[in-house]
Amino acid sequence: MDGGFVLLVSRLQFAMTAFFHFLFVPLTLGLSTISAIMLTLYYTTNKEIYRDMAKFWAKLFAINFALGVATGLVHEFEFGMNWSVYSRFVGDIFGAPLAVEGLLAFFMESTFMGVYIFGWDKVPKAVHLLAAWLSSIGSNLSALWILIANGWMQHPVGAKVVEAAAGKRAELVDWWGIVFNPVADVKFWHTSTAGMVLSAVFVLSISAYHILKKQHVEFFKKSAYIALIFGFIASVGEIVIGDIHAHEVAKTQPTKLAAGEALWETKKGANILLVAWADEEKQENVIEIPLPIPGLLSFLAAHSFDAEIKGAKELQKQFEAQFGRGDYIPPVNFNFWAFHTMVYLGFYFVILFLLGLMKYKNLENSTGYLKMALYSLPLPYIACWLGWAFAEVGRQPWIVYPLTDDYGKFILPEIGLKTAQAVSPLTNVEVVITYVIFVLTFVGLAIADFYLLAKFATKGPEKETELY
Amino acid sequence: MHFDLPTIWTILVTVLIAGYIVTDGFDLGVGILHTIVAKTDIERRVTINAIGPVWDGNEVWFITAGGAAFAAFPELYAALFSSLYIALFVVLLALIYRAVSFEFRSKEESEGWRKFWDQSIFWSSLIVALLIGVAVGNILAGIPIKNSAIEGEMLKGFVYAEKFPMSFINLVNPFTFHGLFGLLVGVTTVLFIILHGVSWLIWKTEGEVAERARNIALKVWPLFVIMYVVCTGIAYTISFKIKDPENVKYLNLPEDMLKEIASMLNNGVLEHALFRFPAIEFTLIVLAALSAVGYFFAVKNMNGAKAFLFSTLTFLFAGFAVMFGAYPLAVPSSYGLEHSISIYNGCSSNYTLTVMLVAAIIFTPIVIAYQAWVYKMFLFKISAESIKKEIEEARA
Repeated sequence: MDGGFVLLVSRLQFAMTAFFHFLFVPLTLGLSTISAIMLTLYYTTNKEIYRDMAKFWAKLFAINFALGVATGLVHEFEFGMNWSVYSRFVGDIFGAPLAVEGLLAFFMESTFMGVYIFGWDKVPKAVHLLAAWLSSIGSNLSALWILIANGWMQHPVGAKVVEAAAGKRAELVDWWGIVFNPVADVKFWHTSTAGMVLSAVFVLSISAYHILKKQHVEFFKKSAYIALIFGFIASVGEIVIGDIHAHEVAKTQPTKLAAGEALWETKKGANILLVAWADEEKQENVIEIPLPIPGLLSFLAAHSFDAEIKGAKELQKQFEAQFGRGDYIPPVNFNFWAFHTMVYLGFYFVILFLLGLMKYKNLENSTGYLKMALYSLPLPYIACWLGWAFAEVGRQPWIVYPLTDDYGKFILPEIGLKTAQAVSPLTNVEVVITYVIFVLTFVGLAIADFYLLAKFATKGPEKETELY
Repeated sequence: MHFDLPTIWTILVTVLIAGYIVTDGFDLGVGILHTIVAKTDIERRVTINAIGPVWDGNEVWFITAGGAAFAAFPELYAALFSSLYIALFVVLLALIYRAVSFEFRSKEESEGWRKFWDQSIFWSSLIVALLIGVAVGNILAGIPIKNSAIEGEMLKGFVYAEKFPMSFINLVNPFTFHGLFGLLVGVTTVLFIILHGVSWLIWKTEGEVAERARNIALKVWPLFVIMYVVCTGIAYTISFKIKDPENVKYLNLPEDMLKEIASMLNNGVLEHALFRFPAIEFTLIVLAALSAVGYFFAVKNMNGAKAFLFSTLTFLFAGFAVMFGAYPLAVPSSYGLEHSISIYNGCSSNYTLTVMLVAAIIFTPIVIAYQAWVYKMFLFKISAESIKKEIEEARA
């Protein structure tokens, strides 16, 4: 993409923040729920072990939570700081879900997390249990609103473009339209279940570590069981939702689909490629290994085995005719591999949980499986990152992808805003200073965070009350 | 004042910012005081536990105020955040370090580790308090922004005219007017935050920590009063020039308000720009002063709840005086009044403001209700003894 140094560094900075944000946030989505389930078990069965389980996992959740908030705050600020032209152009629409997120979700999450973590034996049991569930619901609601905002950038429904006192901008015409934007809603379910899968792998993996070391076996076997059931449901759900999501992308963002599937030529009955490597200069694939089910891509994208799927070359021509010269095809190899690796990992998680459920009765002796579970810990993180990389890089060069109807025809081309136009008028020095310091800070804090997570995760359950 | 949507949203955003200062203000204050009033590790844990269950929820006021400003006044959000780029970056860093410091500090026994995070809590709290004030001071004195639409550029909106490093240095440059005013308001804010933090410590803790906090407040109080008087005095002298009266239309003000401002113009200068409603503003300032006196006596008598009430009132009266003063300007421009962001050229469409208003009316009371409820639950006194007891019980 053309554009200057400030643009490049601003993009890197935003990507970096997203990367770190997603090191912490998905765990809060699912671990809060898992811990709330354990607490519910404790208050209904009165068995001490569930109390210790809820406490143990909530503590890991809390360590992680602070950095999730901090990196989220940076995100909110970066819109205004680095993407001010974007922020003013879309603020009438984009700001509203962010504000509602704060009011509706964030207060709930933070306030009740405080009650949950500090309320042991200090508040009535019913209140404590309610607080655990409200902090879990709060984290997921917060994901919902931020994804409504993101979904609008991908598919800007419910808006018009007008000239206001300080220049051209997009204005809201249909609030429920943006709330029930199909792209946004499916994105939320996809992300929320991803958080659930990640958290289940997290719990399973740490449990496997302890069972392998033959310490607190009963405690961690029970934890693993909850994680296996939870994770299995979530990972199967994830694949179903992923399919619906891909179908939406095919309709609304044809260039993203073409890049993600390395599809250069327009094809009827297009195949899914298992492996591909493109020569992006020559606009063709040098390596192509298709899946032996003909027309599957057409089927998944358009629900018909011989539907026509537009290739990158034709899309480029179509975009140039409508929006002028420019490069409208996002990087193909990057997107293909981000998308495909994510999908492959998605199937791997189903197998991981299914195997675990099958071996559960004899889990403490299934050394091979326990090792597999332990070493799977980084995989859901990688899957989440790749998913986001595909979502965001795949829509380039647009920061607001022009609105299409269900057949890929543009119905509001003037709302399209290119990333290069959206960046703030900053100097090179400013963006470099902030970028470098942010990277150093986040790396440092992530190390401290993982050190503490590892310390408390490997230590196992303990009785100490929560104190600063 | 007009009771139209932009005005209602000005009040709402002010309330959110006030909510932030009133709630997170005291834990910022405790953060600054914590290395001074607490000498031993146990005492430091007393101070941090005094804010432990609530600081996180308090910080959400800031995030929500940011979100609300983005939604209701996107031009303002975009212009301010890109203009104050480095300053906001420093605030962000401080907020990040503060959040993780509380979380990380006691998770490791080593003395070096704890000292590092203690320092981090002190500096980050101080920097946030200082820079919030610096930003407010600079905004009130006018910052060098231009409305690109006046120059025919339809996408860029309000842009900052100075380039780095001046853009940063001038915020705290005592040799420029807005830099000096920014610094003074910054220092005043820090002093206020300390007083507010003391009131919480007296309310929530007992023993030596509370005693030391009280003695600090009695010393800081006169300084705060002097600084508040100085800042108010300087604010009274602030005026804005108008380069091209024709372009004042870009402020998008309602007709009668435009006329009102036009009648206050003197040779192309809007004098006493922050004191256009003197009766209301002086009343608020007097009420702020009375509250400050009430605070002093409450602290003297070690009455934490009363002291907290009075420091809150001091800030609310002073804060609303500032809001009234600036109305209807949100960010005046030192380039000429016509380049300023008003609440009318900076706001969202009526439809967005209406939708958001409905959400705010429904959910703000709910949030306030459950936060108040949580505060009530955790309002038991803590002291070095109670913390020691809790640790021993847990180990037994």
